[in-house]
Amino acid sequence: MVSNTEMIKGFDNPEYASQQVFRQVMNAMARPGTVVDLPDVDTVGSLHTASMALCLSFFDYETTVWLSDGLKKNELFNQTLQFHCGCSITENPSTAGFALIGDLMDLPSLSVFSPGNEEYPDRSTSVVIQVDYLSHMGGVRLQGPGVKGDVRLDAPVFTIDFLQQWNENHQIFPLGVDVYLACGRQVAVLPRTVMLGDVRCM
Amino acid sequence: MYVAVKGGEEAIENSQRLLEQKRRGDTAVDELSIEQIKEQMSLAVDRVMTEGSLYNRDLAALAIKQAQGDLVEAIFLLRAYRTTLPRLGVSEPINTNSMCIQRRISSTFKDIPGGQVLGATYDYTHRLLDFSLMAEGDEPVSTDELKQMESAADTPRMPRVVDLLNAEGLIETESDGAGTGNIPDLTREPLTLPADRQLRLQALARADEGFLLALGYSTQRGYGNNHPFAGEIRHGTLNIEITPPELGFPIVIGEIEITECEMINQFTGSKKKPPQFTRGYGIAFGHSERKAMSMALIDRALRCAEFGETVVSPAQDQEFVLSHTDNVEASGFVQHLKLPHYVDFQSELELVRRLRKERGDNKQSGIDEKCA
Amino acid sequence: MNSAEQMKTMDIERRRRWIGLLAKATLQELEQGWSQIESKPEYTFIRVPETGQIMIRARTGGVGPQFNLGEMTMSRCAVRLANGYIGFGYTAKHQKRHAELAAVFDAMMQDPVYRSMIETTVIEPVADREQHKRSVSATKIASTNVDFFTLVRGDD
Repeated sequence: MVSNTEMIKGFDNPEYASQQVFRQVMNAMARPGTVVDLPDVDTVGSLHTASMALCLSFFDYETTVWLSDGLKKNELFNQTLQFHCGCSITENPSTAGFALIGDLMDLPSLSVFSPGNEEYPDRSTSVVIQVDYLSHMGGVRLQGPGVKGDVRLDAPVFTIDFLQQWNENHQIFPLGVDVYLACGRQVAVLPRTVMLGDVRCM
Repeated sequence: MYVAVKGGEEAIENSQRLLEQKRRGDTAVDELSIEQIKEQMSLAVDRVMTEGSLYNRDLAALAIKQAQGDLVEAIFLLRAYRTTLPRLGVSEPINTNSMCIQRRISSTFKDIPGGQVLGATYDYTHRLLDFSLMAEGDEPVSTDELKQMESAADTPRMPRVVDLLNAEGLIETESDGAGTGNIPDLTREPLTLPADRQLRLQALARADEGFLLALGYSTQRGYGNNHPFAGEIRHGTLNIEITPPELGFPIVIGEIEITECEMINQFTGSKKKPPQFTRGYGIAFGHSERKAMSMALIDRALRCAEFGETVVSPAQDQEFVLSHTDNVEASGFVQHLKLPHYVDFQSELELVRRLRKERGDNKQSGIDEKCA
Repeated sequence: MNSAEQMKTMDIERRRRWIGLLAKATLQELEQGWSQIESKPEYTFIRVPETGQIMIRARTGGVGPQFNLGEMTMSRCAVRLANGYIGFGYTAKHQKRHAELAAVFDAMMQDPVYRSMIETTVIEPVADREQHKRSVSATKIASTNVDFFTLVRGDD
């Protein structure tokens, strides 16, 4: 029930804005390592603008979402999700269509999420991780389909442990999760097809 | 298999312009309005909503107008449109007991609480063409002309006959044993067989009326172990309620017309079940009695596995029935034969020529054989 | 149930009623009501008016397990009045403006300043029309009530 008068508005023009988000994310997905800007939108608490834009564009009545601890406790954010997206929140990450990680500290192992199945690899979890910075200068080297030349991406998520998990995720192709890194209004995507390695200046 | 072809743009554009002209017909005749279709062709609107699987009278009327009255084409238009609408939720399950009755009859129980209410029906008409309808400006029947007027404050709400008169327990009872659980949805997951009854009913509700009618008729003629009675047929209006998460309580968003049919079928019993009457259920948007009755017959026929009956007839074979009920699919597949199959046919032609050659036939001998 | 809960239930029942009537109103009735308001409140959208569909659930045999019967259009909207009241509007019509006005009236009905005025200009006229429609229909239907006589067969 919405009683909270702080309730924020959604997109002013949902059709147009969500198409824009979709287009930008598609580009970022097709060219891993590309950092794209998403349209501006009101947000709540610690949620980055880009994360909110992703929620408003991708989540609907039929989406199942898993939230990291910090986000789960944010009452206003939960109300906002329920009101604007109508999605259901699940406690079980392996059944989630999307996962939203508010803080890197709360990031579980990627293996807890659904990698999809042989018949429907597309039913894997899309994991949105909020990061404090995102840069294509330095960081890990990306290789794979859609990556031309020396493409790099730097974000605080790339720890040795994460790279190990990513490697395992990449190995099980065509299964595996896709990761969206959100920072401010920006997003970069790591599709399961991409290989991460050759860490420079870490 | 068909192949891609190029060209013909101009001809196609012209064909569509011509279609628009055809649709409009003679411009000396007034154009049909959506309101006229809604009011005066309401049963066509009902069918398009039922099989288009979207309740909206305006959109269904528009589809009928756009399709020049071709109802299967109109159903296709409505189905195509509904795919552009985001799913915003599900309704509270409708309670047909609370229906405001416009018609309610039972052919199994004569004296039913609330009585038999004929409502508006073609049943007792003589099916003679009424030439007075050809003359324009005919005065409509006024409400005062309805004889034996009783003034009523509200449309009657009548409990369902079959449950009410099942004191002896000779009719199979239904209960919501399974709870809400996982409710299969054809519009989200492709049909998988065997389909349970919930999924079958969803498929039958949007199924082609003609197909169901013919199959239902076949069960009456002995193709399927079925001896049906119309336990109850009712038509009326119902409120649709949803519970928006932002409110947390159910609210009415509108009213729909609905037709419901409960068939009762004799069943001689099996090892597991005693002799009793079993049920078939039919339901459709608007006033669609033929559809609801046919659906109820097929629902019962498809329950054969439940009652240990052997599948001997088409109407009992769920793969046969469920794979061919949808007129959008069926019409698409039949009509795709109009697409260019040139290459396909060319290769078949080659094959037949080769086979002929291998048999040592030639063109001439083929003709000779026929003449012989 | 304590009295506070009773009050709350009563409030919910009243709001249920007016939201339902706003949904069933015609767009013309809503526009007319809106045009009669001299000092129209300012409002902003929390959720811009949108049209989608809902799945109607029925029950096997009318009483058994639920199944998906078919869809129905629905338009909805959420607004916030300048004074903070939040209103939600819903209708089965394919009509965004209807949802918008219904949301504004829902918010105004929660505001004691506007309530009685909206009640008399919008809510009650719709309720009266709905009631009249039902009673006319009921009268016509009642005239078709039939009592069939079963004839005794010759050999009995």
